[in-house]
Amino acid sequence: MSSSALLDRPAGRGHDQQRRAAARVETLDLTQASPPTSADASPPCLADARPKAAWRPRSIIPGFGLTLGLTLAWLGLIVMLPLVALFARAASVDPGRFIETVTSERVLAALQLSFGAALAAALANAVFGTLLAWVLVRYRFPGRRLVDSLVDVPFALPTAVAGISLTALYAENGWLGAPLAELGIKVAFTPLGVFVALVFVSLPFVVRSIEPVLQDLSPEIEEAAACLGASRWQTIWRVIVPTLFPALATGFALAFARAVGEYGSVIFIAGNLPGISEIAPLLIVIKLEEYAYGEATAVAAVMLLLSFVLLLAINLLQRWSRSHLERR
Amino acid sequence: MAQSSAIHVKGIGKRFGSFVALSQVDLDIRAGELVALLGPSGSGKTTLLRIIAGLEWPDQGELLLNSDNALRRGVRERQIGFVFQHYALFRHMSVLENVAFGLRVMPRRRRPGDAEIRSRVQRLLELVQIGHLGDRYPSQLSGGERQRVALARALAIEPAVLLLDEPFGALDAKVRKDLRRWLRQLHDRLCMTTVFVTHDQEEALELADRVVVLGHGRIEQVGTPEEVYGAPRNPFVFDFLGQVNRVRCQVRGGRPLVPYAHIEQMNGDGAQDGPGTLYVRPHDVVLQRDPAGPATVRFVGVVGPVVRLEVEVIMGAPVLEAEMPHHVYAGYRFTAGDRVSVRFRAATLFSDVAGEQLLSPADLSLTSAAL
Amino acid sequence: MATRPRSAVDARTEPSPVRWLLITVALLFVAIFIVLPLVSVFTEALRQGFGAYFGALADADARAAIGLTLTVAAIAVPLNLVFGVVAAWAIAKFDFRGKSLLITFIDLPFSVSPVISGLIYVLLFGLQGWLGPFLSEQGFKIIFAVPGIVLATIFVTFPFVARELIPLMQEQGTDEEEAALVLGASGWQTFRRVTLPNIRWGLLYGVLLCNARAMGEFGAVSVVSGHIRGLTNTMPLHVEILYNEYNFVASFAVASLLALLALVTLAAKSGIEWKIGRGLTGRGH
Repeated sequence: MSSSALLDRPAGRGHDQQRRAAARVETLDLTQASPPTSADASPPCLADARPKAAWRPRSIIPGFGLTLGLTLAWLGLIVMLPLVALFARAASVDPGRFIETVTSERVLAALQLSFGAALAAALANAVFGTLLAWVLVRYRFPGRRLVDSLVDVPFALPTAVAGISLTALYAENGWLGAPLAELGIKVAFTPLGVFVALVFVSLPFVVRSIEPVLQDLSPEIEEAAACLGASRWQTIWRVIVPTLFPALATGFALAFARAVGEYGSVIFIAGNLPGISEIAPLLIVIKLEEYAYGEATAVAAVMLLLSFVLLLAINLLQRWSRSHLERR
Repeated sequence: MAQSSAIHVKGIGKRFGSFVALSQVDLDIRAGELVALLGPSGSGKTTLLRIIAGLEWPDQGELLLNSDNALRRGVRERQIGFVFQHYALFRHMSVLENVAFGLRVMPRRRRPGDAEIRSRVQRLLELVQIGHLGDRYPSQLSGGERQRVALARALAIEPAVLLLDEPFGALDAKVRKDLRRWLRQLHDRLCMTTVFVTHDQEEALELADRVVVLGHGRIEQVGTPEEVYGAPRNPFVFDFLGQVNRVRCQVRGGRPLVPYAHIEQMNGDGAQDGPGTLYVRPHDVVLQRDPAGPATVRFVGVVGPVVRLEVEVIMGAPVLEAEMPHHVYAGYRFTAGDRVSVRFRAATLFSDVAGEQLLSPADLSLTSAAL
Repeated sequence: MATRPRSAVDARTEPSPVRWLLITVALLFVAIFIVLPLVSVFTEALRQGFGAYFGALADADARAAIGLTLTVAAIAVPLNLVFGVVAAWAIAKFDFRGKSLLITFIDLPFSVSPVISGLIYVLLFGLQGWLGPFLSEQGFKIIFAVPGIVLATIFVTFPFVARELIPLMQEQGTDEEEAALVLGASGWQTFRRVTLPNIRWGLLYGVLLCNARAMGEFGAVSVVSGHIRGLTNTMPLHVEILYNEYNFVASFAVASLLALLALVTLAAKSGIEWKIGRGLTGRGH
């Protein structure tokens, strides 16, 4: 998965265009959107011939109706319809049973583990991801490009493969598990194992979010800070970090979103003890296997809502920090 | 009338949301003419050009190209040669392929054969003097070369009309001048109806047969370069074309009350009594050494083709700018602090109409810089 | 040469011990979290030698799983490729109200748990679902069958191509398309001769990532598949089954194929980045 594909594009041309478009395009009407190339026998006066001219997009590029129509249809069929089905199903569950389900000890423990471990993993990646991005952008050392490519491995490696491989590594006889066991630390089949798997799958997001911003950071800013008498540490803390913050928040949000729903890499290493190392997505699968569709839907709906709220909060924080930055 | 013109624009209007880009624009362009659309940014000149090309659609109005209702035709069917501001060369195609594109996408029955395309493209490249660059890619060309490729590409489809959007905008000053002269020669050779957009008055005045001055979505004046420069029809055109002194004054009986200066020739048809503004070109300000004169020389700039002086009138009037040739200046040798008398060789008077739009100071400095 | 005062070090970098400390920490992090898991896949797979390795891959069920995975990707990837191009064209070349909302919806599958992605299709097409009973009467089976796997795969790989193309096409603007239209090209000619060549590398990039995810998807497919050996088992699901049967070598053998796919994908991705040059697309990678 490419991280850049997920990032918010910085406010700029696109936003301006949207704003202008919002002012211009009154209604979205697919039938009116084809470009005026046909040689229909319209009278010379356009005002009469094309009373709906204000609706059509300004561009003469053809294919607006066709492409937007196809996009909306495919999006509706593949994404929106099934998601609506989920919430319709959740709404049709008896409210008493819904609440009973999602407040049961096992579900609460699973949600707590999923969200807690995902937050912890995203935080760990915020720290190490920033460090990694800094090192990759700012320093030159042998193998830098290889390391840069390796960062994408968690995007490309199927989660089941990551799951069994991490389990083999951290099992008590594994390469890492054995030395850790001697120190009295048990990773596989504990909540710590969940954390390790989530760090793996969400590792690239923060790095890939921060890298471009760091690359584009104008050298003059740091030199100016140095000229003004700031120490290196002051420059980093007061000049660079605030600039990176919106990108960091984006990366954090993406990492968190990925980690909270992660299934494949976790179920092998977690041990899946109910109430201890059982994650919420696994619980949904278990409920499904028991044909308890209503309960599975209830857990899924709560998961979606919780992550939506969290992402919204992060988004607001990011928007606030960005506008705060721009105003300065 | 409309039947004989190559481009006939009538009552064209266009808004983007609440912004009025063009309102009630009428314009006739004769076959073979080279016309400049001149105006500051936001004046609607590019919008008008894009409407003629079919890249933009007007909200109302009429557009005939060679007596044919062009609004019934899409951009593909208009056979317009359009040179984009940033050239819009196809970056993945060689120069040859760029120029050949318009021929290659013709319907099969009209499309020339491969050999024919090749020779036509080569001829075009020779015409624009880049015959040796056919195999290059756009990224390997200089700005001036790209411009020539864009022109050759536009000419390849044998357009009825050639439209150029800020053709020299992206070039540096030296290349700009050369290309300008060359484009004029090319036009004289091809005799093709040509319209170009520019915000550079020097470019418009030097190159065009006729200049269309646009401001705020309206046509302010149409005329030969001599007409629009020598006899601007309104304050907007005065402000936009060349440098000018603006002297606020009261008008009584059609004459301005300017006690400190003698006016030799008054232009402008009958300003009403009340507040008015007198427009005087710097080269029409004549100074004479006079210890009792009403003005003081504040600044003398001798560098450049003419000597530039700034004169402050003692009675609280604005600072006037004056220009004179070096040989005239040699007879006076003004220095800062000299008292002088002031004479306006020619001046144009306009009443201050309420709500009249004048250029902002920012626009003024832009026009001065362009001179 | 005058000696530089200590404070005169480059304003944009750190003292070298700090630098090397940071590099070491970063490299350790990558080694532990990325390199070791990758290496261990292959060592586990080859633990009992090449004979056992190829034996595991030659197994009929393994071959069926490989075949199914290829089939699913062969359906899902082209569909999302077409969708991605079409959506990017609509979004990048035109202005319209609700554009950012549309982009958000296209991104939705990225932020939905894979398990929930599977669940929604079970709810729609399962026997207890909205359309399931009707379809089952008509003799269509979607859940616990190949169509369900394809649908779930399309869902999870939905945004890849579009997301790669939208910023690229927005940045390229519409100048070249307008030029082509003025020169008389039709809409299709404009797309094929002007737009497509300009986006081909971004397109390939998106397809690569889309394909990697399509072949490797586990959670969503696991929910809708029913795990019928030889019939509805994709490679990642087969890895799980073998692993749960303690057939570790076979499990890692199949897993190593998927890991190879990941490495090839990343190599091709790096190749494209090298080809188009970093920053050509205005983005960091």
